[in-house]
Amino acid sequence: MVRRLVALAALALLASSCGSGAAGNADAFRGAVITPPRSVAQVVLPDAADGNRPFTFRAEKGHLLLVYFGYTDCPDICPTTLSDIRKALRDPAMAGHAGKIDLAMVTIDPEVDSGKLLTRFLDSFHPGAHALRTDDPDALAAAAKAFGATYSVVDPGHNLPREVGHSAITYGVDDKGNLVAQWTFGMPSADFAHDFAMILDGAELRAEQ
Amino acid sequence: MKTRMLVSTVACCTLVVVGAACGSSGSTPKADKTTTSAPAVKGGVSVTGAWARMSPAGAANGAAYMTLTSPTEDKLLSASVDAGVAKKTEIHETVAAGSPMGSDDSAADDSSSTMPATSAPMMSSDTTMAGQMTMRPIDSLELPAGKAVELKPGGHHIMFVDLVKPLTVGSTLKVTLTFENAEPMVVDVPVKEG
Repeated sequence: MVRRLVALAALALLASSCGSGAAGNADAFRGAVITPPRSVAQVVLPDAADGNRPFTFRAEKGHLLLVYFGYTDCPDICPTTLSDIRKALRDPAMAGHAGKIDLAMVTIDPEVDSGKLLTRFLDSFHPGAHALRTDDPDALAAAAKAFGATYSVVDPGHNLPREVGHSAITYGVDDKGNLVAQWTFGMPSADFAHDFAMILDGAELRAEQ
Repeated sequence: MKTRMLVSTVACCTLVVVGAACGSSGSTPKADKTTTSAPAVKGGVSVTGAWARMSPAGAANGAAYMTLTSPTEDKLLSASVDAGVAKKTEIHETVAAGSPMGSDDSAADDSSSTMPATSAPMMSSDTTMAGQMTMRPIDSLELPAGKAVELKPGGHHIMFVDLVKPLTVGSTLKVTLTFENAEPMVVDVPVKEG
């Protein structure tokens, strides 16, 4: 229930911040602040970009870790978000913070996404990104649950294409392994950059009033 | 089932709010103004702002976006590219997962009877706001007379299925569009970083 309230607050925030755009309160967080932050550091998944060594959901010291649940066959939502993040890293607001963004994508379609494929895919957007893939459906479900992400892979059969759905949300995790913020689909890259810089600056995260 | 309904309902609401508040990503050109500035091609459909996103390494699929304005009521029936680019091209819509077929404009409908039958969906049991989205092919895209219809990230897109080679920045795709009434047309679609 508490989480749902947070979610509703996040929606309200999103609506208000998007409506007023960059002209609004410059100090207000553009995404949704997770209050209080909740730990995701207990979740571990194999990192195919790192020889399948276990990856803990925690940013490197002084960094921000962005986490996304998606799949490589996704031509629209996933690459749009990953492109917007890539663009955000070049935004003037991110000056002085170059190299402090870690990126991890969890494939929700491990049947299709090999570790190698996912690693190559992510390298197109963010070299050094963590390619998280597990064959254990329980481990994947547990990871998604920790973030509040959902996904579904439905095979209708009869040679029809599989229908894959996933939370189109980018999650922000600090170097203590706390989920501190999240951004819904469609966040302009300048707003991403603004929020990333705020978190990396250690600023107090608060919603626009 | 109850869990899934809840998730879908919340996801639907999310899409509506997101759509209203900031329907276009930062990288999407605004289409609102094209209604009046569309080239006056008598009986033809005008196309503006066409682009395709470069395909990430290893990606099987790609997407193209554009704004279509038809002077008279029409339908986009198909899009196609050279077989050397992709094996198949489809018109897709991205919607909140679980929303009823062809009703993305009324995605807030939370009637449980419209839930599609699913075969063993894998889903987290958490019912937190999920913003879950999915995409599916559509048979045609309505083009109301004089109205700019925007294909954009998170909405409708032309999907290149099974790319034969990666879409690289700087190249231009020739995309053939067919309509119910208007003559077929070939559109230059530059590949951009996105």
